[in-house]
Amino acid sequence: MVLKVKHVKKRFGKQTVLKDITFSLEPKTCTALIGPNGAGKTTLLRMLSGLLKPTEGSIAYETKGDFRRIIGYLPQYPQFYEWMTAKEFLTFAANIYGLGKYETENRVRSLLEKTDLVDAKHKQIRTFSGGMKQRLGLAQALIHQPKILFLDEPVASLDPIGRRDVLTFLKQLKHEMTILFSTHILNDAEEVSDRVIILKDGTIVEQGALSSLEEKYALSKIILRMNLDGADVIKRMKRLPSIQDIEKIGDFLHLYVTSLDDAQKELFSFIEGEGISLIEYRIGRLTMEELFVKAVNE
Amino acid sequence: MEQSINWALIAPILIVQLILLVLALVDWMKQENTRGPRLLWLFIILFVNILGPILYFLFGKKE
Amino acid sequence: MQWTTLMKKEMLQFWRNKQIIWVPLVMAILAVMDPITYYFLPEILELSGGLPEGAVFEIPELTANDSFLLGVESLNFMGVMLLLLISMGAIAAERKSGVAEMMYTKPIHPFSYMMSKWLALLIVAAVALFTALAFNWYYTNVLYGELAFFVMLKTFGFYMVWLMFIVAVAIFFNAFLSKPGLVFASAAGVIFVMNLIDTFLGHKLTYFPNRLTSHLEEMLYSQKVPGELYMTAGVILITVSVLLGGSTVIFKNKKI
Repeated sequence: MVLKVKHVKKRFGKQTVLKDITFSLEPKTCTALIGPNGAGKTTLLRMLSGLLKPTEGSIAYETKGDFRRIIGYLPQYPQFYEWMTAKEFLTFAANIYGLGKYETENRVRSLLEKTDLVDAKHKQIRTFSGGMKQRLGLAQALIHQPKILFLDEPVASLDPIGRRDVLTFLKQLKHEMTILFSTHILNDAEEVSDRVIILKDGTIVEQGALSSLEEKYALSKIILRMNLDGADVIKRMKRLPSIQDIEKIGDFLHLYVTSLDDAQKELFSFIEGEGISLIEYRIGRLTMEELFVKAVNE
Repeated sequence: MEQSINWALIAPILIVQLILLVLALVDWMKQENTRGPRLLWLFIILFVNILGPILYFLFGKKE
Repeated sequence: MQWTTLMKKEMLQFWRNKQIIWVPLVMAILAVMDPITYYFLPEILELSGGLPEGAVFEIPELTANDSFLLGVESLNFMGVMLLLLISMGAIAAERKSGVAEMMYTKPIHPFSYMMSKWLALLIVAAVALFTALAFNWYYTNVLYGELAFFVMLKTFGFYMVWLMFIVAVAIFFNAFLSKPGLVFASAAGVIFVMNLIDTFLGHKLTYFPNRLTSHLEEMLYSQKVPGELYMTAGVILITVSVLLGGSTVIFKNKKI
């Protein structure tokens, strides 16, 4: 465990933003913190990075020294000293962490390359676009090779290309360090993370590996098209024990099933009995979005 | 009344004024957006005696 | 060393935004405005239509000491306000713009941070005060007669103590506020109230910080440094340490 969060609460005045948050992060995993706006994602990340103090509970890092030396943090809207150049800011950040001269030069150079800012390194940050600032923000968070990286909505403000770049970069990074990033875009979470923490109204409503969550929510789905799909047929189909719910989308029926094996057996005998013929049949995966809606609504 | 200009008196103030003016102009040229219309600040710097450049430094720039 | 990094960064900023140049120049103008105006008062009156026929208007002669003090006194208000204007954003502006969120997750020692902010502003203040007093000294010599350079240096030394206090007050409010305007208003408010206290109770509070200027006056006229001046400076320095210590503690617990 590189981070253990136990029973953390945060109140601002009378408003309770986070209630009883408990989770931990394993080394070299990538966890997505998902939740609707106002769920408390930013507050949680700010507490983990030491900007805010929890009202109750404890946050423990696996380090003997100052935890701020092993974390990197990228705020949602990264802001810099605008009068500095990109290179100056990174060098300044490296010096804050006490990196040696040689190491500083190396880190700054390699991060400018990785974040594609080499051409802009001598330009004042005030002339930077949002995407460039995001990349520079990522670079400064990585300057001291942190063990844990916290990112607050790292791709929310980016155009599709910028978003692709950052997501690809994160995929590489997750082999080197522990990453926790917040997002409200579920596809992003699905694309890079191994684990998710779903936050709603200041409470963790669900957490775990993506695959285990899919299992837990009976999250197999069968998508099929038949020559007969009248309301009465669907009604009878719904009575099959393994089928939880049926949704009709266009010509297709989406069957949410608790156990794929049982459901397939039941389904085939039902189709045979009814004399229906199948036009198309496939086993689908629940999208992150469906999973999220299920978890949040329960 | 004396007609000759007392340089010992005027020169230092003139120099200060000149430095302020040049400094403000150089900064104005580099500044892409100012608080309020950019051209207006140019007029203030150029034509408001002494105070113009000072006002520009204090209030003209966005932080 | 982190301390040098922080200090270098502050100074680079004051160089890039040219504050280290324009603030001293403005201070210089502020300091010599009154002595010069006073000198040309008869001409100014004449130009503006003159006095009514037969009216006699006596303008008292100023000594070199009087003129120099006139300049120092104009710094008391305008100079201090200018200093507050450039100090009001030291930390508050970083919170307002959002740089704070990025910077304060780094292992910065709160005391180093406070000191770098205070000291950097103080360097600007020192350059400004020296320029202003040098100008004041020059004009006093040209217009009103000789004033020893060493007197100017002594004034610089003691007045710097007062400016240390002004900047420390600004830093103190910066430690917990996130709006530069509010920092300015609070610091100016504190100094205004202190001026009021000085006006009404000053004669009883010999070592009150604001007494410093009165003791400086005494120094100029008596040609020697009065003991009260040292004591007042001592009181101010203790207050400054308390303010900076307090700022550090507050800042440690209030980052954004």
